[in-house]
Amino acid sequence: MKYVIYIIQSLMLLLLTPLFMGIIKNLKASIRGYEACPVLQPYYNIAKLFEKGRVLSKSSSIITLIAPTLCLCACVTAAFMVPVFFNDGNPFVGNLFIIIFLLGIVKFFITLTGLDSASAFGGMGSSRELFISMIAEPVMFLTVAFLYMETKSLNIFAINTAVAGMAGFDVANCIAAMGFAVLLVAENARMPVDNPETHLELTMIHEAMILDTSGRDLALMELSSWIKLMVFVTIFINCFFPMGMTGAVAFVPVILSFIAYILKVLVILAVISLVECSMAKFRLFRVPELLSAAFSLSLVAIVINFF
Amino acid sequence: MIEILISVILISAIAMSGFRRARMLNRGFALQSLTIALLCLAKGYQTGEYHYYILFLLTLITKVVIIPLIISRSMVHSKLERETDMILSGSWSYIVTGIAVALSFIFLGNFSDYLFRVGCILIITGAILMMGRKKAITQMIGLLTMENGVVLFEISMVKMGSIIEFGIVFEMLILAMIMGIMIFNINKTFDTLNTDYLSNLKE
Repeated sequence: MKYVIYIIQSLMLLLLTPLFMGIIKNLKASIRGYEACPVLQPYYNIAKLFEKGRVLSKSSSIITLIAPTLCLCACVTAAFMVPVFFNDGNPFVGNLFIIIFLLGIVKFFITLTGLDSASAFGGMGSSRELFISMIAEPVMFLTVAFLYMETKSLNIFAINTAVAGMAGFDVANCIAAMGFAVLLVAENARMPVDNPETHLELTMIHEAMILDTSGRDLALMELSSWIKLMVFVTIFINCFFPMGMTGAVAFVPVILSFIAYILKVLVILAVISLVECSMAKFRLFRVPELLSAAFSLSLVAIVINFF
Repeated sequence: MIEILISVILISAIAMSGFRRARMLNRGFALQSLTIALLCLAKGYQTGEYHYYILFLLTLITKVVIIPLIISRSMVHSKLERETDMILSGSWSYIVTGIAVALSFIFLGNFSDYLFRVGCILIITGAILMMGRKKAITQMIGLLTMENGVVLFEISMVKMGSIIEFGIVFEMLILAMIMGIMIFNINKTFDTLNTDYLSNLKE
């Protein structure tokens, strides 16, 4: 029974991802005073894109053919490796390193796709993406090291159980959560680092790399970047704010835990959209400052936890 | 509750060390002072001693309202928007602050009291802020951050009378006023707030 719930929770995560993206768009529109598109618009977009054919560049190779599918596969696998709203503390998957490297596969193939179409924009986007992720990776591993030192485990299910068992908030946990939040923004090309809604040349990082994909490929790429964002949000929730998580195989606790998860995700999405509406994008060469702030936050969290 | 407030103070100390814009530094200082005031309130609620409430009120009035007003007034007068050439720039100041905070947590490992350690850390980050900047206003904010650290020290000590709290708070207020006047005069004499030019006073 519990394996069924494990599969159902990851399927829910995958199915609800476009809805969450629609909610972000709606929140941003209502903050700015626009009239919002329907909440279900991302589903329609994906359905429309799946009906269209693909247009390939003459100079593209096999990478462009396989990369969108590979990206989506890696993201879906990562989504099946994180606890969403049910965790009975008996893990058989979910090593944090495997999740990180699965999400690294997505980044790798998206950058290769940007280079593969032999357009100027794609290469520019790839170079910028790797420049940012080069600085973001140490923060990621420091956060993982912090989680290991805090809970003596590298498995996200065990980490979740251990953090949920702690009484109250820890100082180190709050600081590491702040560092991870900066990392979440930087890795998923959200606002202070990259503007996800324009195709303007100066702001393009993520959009530049997928500029030359079309139709079905574009749908797969967009879906995989959305799922990547939601997997990051789920890791954030489960490693730092695991209140309301259940391990009981019964109907009522699971539903309550699901509602708690949805509420936490909505709060995080509201914070993301508030930040996106209130801040201007950083210059590219000021992004290292943001990430080095996250670096020193995670370093301080490790030291506080250790001493 | 106290732990969340302490982590807000630490995060604001690390974040303030790299801000370029003086307005953001001012807001960060106000947030830090507000957190310290709330910490006093929480301590007072925990221990039931009245002098924490007095410190809460004094901190709220002076450091959250009056001193940021003084700083923003002198910013308007001197038209200082942001600091362009810092001695410790951007990411380096974040990393230096992070390492300094980590080292001081290691060296103060014998003290189990978080407030004491965080007080030390605020003094060190304020010193880094003062050393790494050239403009007078940002150096002033660094000094005020150090004073915030002194207040945290004072909270962590058990037996201290209200007279010392009054002393710290009013010293800080008068310090901010004097520095506001000094900044106005520096700006009038040199047409800039860069403290490098102060050595031009030599004959």
